[in-house]
Amino acid sequence: MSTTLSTTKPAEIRRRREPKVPRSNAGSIAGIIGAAVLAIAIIAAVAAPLISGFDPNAQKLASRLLAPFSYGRDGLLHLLGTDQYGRDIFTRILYGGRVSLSIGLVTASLAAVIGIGIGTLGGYREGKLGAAVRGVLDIQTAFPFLVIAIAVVGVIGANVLTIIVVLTLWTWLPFARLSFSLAQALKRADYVKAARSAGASDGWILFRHLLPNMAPALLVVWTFVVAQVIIAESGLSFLGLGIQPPTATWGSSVSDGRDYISTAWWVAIMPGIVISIVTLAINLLGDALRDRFDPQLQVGA
Amino acid sequence: MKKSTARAGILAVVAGVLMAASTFTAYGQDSTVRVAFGALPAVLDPFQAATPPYSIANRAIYSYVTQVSATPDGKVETTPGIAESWSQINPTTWEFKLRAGLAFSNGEPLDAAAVKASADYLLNPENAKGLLGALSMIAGVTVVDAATVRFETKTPDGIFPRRLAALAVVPPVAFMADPQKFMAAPIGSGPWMVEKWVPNESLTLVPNPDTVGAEPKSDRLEFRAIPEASGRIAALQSGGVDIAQGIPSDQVASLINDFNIVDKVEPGSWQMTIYQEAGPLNDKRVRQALNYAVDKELLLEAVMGGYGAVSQGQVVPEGVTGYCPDVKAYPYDPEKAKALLAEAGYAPGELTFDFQSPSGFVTNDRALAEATAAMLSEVGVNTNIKFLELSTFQDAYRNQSKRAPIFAWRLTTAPFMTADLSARWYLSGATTHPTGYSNPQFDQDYATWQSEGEEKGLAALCNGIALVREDAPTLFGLNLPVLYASNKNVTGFELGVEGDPRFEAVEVGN
Amino acid sequence: MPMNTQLPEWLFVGLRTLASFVVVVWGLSTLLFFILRINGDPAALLAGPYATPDQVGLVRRELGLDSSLFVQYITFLGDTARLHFGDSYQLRQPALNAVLDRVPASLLLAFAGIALAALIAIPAGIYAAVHRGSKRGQLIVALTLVGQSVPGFVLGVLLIRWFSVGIPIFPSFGFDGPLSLVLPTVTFAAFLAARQTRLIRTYMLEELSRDYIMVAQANGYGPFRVLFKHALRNVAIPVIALLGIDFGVYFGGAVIVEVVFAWPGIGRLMVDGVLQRDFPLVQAAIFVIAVTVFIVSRLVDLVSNQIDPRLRTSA
Repeated sequence: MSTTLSTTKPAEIRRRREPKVPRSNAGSIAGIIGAAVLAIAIIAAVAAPLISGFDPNAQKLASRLLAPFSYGRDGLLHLLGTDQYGRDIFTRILYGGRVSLSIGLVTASLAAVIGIGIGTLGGYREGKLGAAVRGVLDIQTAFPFLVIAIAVVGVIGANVLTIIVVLTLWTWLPFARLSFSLAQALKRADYVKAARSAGASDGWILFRHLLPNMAPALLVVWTFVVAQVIIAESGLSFLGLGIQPPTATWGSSVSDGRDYISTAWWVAIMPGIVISIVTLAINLLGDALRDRFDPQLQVGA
Repeated sequence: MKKSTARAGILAVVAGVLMAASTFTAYGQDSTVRVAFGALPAVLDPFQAATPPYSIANRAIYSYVTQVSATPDGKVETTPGIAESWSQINPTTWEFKLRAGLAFSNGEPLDAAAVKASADYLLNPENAKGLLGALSMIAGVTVVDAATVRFETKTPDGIFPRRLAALAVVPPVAFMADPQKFMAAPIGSGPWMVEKWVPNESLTLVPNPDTVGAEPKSDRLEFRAIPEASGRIAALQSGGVDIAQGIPSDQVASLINDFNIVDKVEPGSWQMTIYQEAGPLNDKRVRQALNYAVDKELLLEAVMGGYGAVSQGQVVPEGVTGYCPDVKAYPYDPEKAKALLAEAGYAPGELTFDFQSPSGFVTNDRALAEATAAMLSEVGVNTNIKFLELSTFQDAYRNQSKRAPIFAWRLTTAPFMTADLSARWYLSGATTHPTGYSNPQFDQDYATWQSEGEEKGLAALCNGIALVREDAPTLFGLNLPVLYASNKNVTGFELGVEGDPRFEAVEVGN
Repeated sequence: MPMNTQLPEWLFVGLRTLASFVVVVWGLSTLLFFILRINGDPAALLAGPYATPDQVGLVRRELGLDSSLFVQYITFLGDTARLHFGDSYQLRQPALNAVLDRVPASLLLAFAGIALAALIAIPAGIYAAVHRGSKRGQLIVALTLVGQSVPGFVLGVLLIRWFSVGIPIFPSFGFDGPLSLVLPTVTFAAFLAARQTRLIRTYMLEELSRDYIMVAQANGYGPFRVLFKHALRNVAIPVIALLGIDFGVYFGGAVIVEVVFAWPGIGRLMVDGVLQRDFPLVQAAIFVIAVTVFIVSRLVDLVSNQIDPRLRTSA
């Protein structure tokens, strides 16, 4: 960080300093914790068969709805209890992470690429292209997303690919909207004007000035979208449109457990807690990344 | 003088307040029965369907030519409705005598002309009514006199009077003026009259003093649609409603101490079509293996909480006309299943089938499919479950080409309570649920049953049903329960033999 | 365009707005027209389980579904252009009326939820930005994370268990009176508030790190005045845009809240319409939602332009 600082002009240093806000190390510690939790979640999902000996889809109807830390009919310990089919909840959370995390990360990244690409172009160029992008964004805003999702999933069937496509169609919008308005505003910033009058190409301006400046806000959106997608998948499950069973996902586990919330709370709450923890970790990581790559540090570089 | 005036004034005010209070209390005592359903009909159309959700509202508003009731020995019989008696004049002609002096709540007479008008409207294909298929054996209706009406059928139908338990009668003048408008504010001769109707959402009913049957005991009946099961249970527990329909069977245990559970084995069932004209499922041994592989008792116990019944190698449950007591379910025998698969030449894990199941519109449909799939995998048959929403399901039900090798369905025989609908699927060239299955002996047995009458011809039918069980075009599953829960202070709540609720005797105590 | 010079500006803008609206509705309707017809059969659904294939065919003809897809589409375009959506298959009444009946309940819940969320999120977001790094600021951020990670239906079910069943204060279902609005509003607002708080905090942080704030501070203006005079005005634009988007979010996602609380909104009607392939109903609902969201997004633009005239574009 200090090396970056030393190469920037004094005026830029003053610009980027934040007002009276202490910059503690708490942020980076939280970021490390977030990264660690996310890493553990990913490793646990990948290494699921090594961690648990249970088959995630094997039903033991005789051992259904067992509380956490209880033993099944076969004498095996169910760490987080069993669900309505007598399946081990801990195991299903491990395996569910594979699907939920992939859907979350892939969808958010795909949506980011599409959304930022379209939004930035539209906002930077303005004119006819900008109007066209705005038009598309208006269409999308008026898009009753769930109806499309229900129609598509109902017709094509719910598999990982359909769900990613449907959720991407929905989540590219915040990226596009934000980058549209950011690009529109940044275009008028003095340093961009300066760069353009100095003869910088559009590509140079986009990649050296616009995108780095837009990144922090977009990164926050990205972390938000990852979490949102994991939750949206549970919403689709709630409407009967999630990933088809018996494949475990965190969202569908929460959704399927909702009927037992007053009789066997762990069925819905355990995967729910995992969603919360992982979401929290992703967000902490996002915040830390934003602080780390504060764009204004690179403006003058 | 002044004092007494003042006193009189005070008295008057007090009296006024008391009166107001008493009317207020009287209004408070106005007994309203509130009921939560998973779904209410989209339109109060008496000719659209005779099954829930339509039948739930229609039974309250309209009355029917006949009724189907339970007999003390657990069977069903046809009992009087608008008609008090009937007789068969020749094999295809039935004459119905109507009860005298009946009228609709708008004053129109409820007579033979009204019955004919109702039937004619339903039978006109232009009107495209959902019940047409169920009553299309009717060839014509003639009015003999105001209290006598004759029905001609296309072919002899031994239980024809029972068919008319699906024929609601509407006041012809009011109805024909504008059927669509009529259905927004319908008039019938049933126990209740419509006070307020919000399609799909709520229906408020008040007693009809001139009803054909018994007059309701409560002052008001309110139906509400609450799609989520947990929402209906919460509404019941919070006192928002007095009765809730569609209680998930595995939730019964948590309610049974505080509420009354009212249940009935539905006259329909949840089964899987597994016949294929080619491929592994064309082999009888494979189909039998699937039947042996599923532990129906465990399904019933674990998924249905013990409510309902195991289907006994046939679609309909005990009590329905055409039930064969001597035909039994395939026992749970995974070893035999594996042996049969081996005999047919399939190694464990070699067979993988797509498995279509209803999603969200049949009691516990998703859970039943998941549990069944898990049982099949125990004997080495893999499945890919595909859940279908309502209209896709209907499409697959009617079209062989859109159907997966394993296709779970649910159908009720209500309101007729006879096995003929389900038996018809096994006929060669069946059209409503075509499978390609064919067994000439069964065709012959079915024809005998139809011509000899459903009671006399039972032996023939059961001979055929036993053959079908052996051929196993169906993976026989369960007969599903209808489950209601009511507050402890609710009395007189009953389910008809077909599983629809009756609210006439319902009272809510304190 | 020569017309450009002849027409007064307001009329030109009005016509352009109308044109883009027509394109929106046309695009949406066309997409759904074809998706919904890939499979599923509304006629089989209406004809009932006893119907023979002939009878199903009759119903299909009655619904006008027996002609070729192309002919159906042309007919549909013509009808839609005249706002004739036809009768809902299931409800047997003009589809548009059925949808319009649901509008009040939907609008009420949407506005109540967005208002409640904004009431929480705007002060919370600004506070969390100004007091970034403080315990309370971090607590707010933590709460937004929790808020974002609870699925709406779980919160709804829990609220019902606590405040309808546990302590019977609020009705758990339906739309009768102000009390019945509370739980659905809270459920919907919780999701929005979490997300709005976070975004408002971000906008505010960006704003606070800009030059003019530094300059103002250097010139001795107190932080309070600086904040409210400059930063807030700049933050207002993205926040208003956000509220506008959230309005669209209602129609996109509140169906879950509507299902949990048996709320008679458009979302449930439309989902039922899709599941039953009630084409006229779905198309009418799409139209009504598009009109509503469109009006709101125009209002948002209008308000934004009032606040910051620089955003007025002539393109």
